[in-house]
Amino acid sequence: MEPEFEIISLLKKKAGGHISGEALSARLGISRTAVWKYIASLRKAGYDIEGRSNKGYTLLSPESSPFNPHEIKSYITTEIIGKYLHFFPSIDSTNSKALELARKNAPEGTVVVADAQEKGRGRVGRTWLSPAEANIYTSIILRPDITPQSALALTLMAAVAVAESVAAFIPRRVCVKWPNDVLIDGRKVAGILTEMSSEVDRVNFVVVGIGVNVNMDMKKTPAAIRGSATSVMEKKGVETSRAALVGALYSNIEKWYKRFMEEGPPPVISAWRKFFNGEGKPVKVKGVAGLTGICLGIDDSGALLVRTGAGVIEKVISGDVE
Amino acid sequence: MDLKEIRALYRFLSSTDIIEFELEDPHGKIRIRRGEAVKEKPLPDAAIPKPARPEGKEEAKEEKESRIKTITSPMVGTFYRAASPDSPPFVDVESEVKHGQVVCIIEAMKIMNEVESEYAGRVIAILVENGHPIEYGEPLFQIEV
Repeated sequence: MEPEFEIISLLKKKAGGHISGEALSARLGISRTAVWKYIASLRKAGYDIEGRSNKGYTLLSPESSPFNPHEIKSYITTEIIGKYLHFFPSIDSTNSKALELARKNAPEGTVVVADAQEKGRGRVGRTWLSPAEANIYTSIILRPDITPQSALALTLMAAVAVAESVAAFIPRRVCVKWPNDVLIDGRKVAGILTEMSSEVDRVNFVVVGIGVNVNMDMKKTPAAIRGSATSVMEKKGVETSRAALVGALYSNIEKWYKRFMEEGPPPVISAWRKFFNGEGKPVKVKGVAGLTGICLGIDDSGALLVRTGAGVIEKVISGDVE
Repeated sequence: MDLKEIRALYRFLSSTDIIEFELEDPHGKIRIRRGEAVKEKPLPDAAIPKPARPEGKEEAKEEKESRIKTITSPMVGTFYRAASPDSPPFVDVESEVKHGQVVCIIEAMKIMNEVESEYAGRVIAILVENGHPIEYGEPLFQIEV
């Protein structure tokens, strides 16, 4: 580890306590002047370090630490997911980059993270608002040895992992919308774009793209987005460490992915149902096979069940749901 | 042996020089003869027994048919011919496709699945309209190899 980040991890371990310049210099085997220079460069990088002549240095508000690969790695506790991390201050789209890496045989667990996206993508050519210094944009490469049909539950798996991760940072009810939007108070706090490459009977790879609105100031977003989206900060009132939330995301994805590969869809389906509050509510499905009716939840394959006016129960696996 | 196994077996055979294959087990018997390979790699008459069926016109037709391969859907979902509404389609009728080339996207449960062609050849028919729902195993494209 570079000395700067060794200093940061030592300060973090002190959790608000102080370490003297002398102790840092002894610990790292560098001069006091060098310590002073590293502290100056860390402050420049965005770390809020306070120095007092009689006590030493302390890291103030670690939750607003800058978003960089060292910070993110310090929160990664997984075995597979995040093992190979590609960080970009800005990129066209983390999913596009992950697809490119996957096509070049990047191993399972490779992740792409960016501070900003220039062309953040949603489904079917839609865009995802991706300003810098605010949110999480990350894409994860998975290589499950299964058929494309059985890979469909991965989208619910990702929704469960994201909902759990967000819920760990905010004392509010976090819900899922079929199949994979994550909402607080009916507004979207996170979105998932899953892209897969397959042959007829086997999956080549899956890229799970996750966007979480973390510290985005909703007042600065376009009105159309403000009406349907929210951020963790809007609901919580204070900033959240994006690096810590990324770490939680990877842990939860790994946990649920392992369970899915070992036990199949049932545990994922039942976890998803716990986050779902749309049962019994009216629902409208758009698209070629559009319909309206009352939502009855999901079946054991993850398909949405809708009771239409005629009393018939329809299984929905495709289309936009309102 | 189910259809999936037969398909996998056929794909394996296509990657080899084997032109005729026969397997018998307690569940039954399967015999695969690859017309294309026979045409490309003529062997001395003695090496292969003559097929016990009428030759001529019918065989020529069969041979043509065997050169037309069908790409079927790997899953239920919605069929898309392009990556987004503004993008050009991945392939059109008459397009040449390579093995492993993306020919369409199938969306289900918001997973966008890029389907790769198992065959190299020329697209002669697109059997589903853009944006329409499809079933597992539904024929999507016909490729002349």
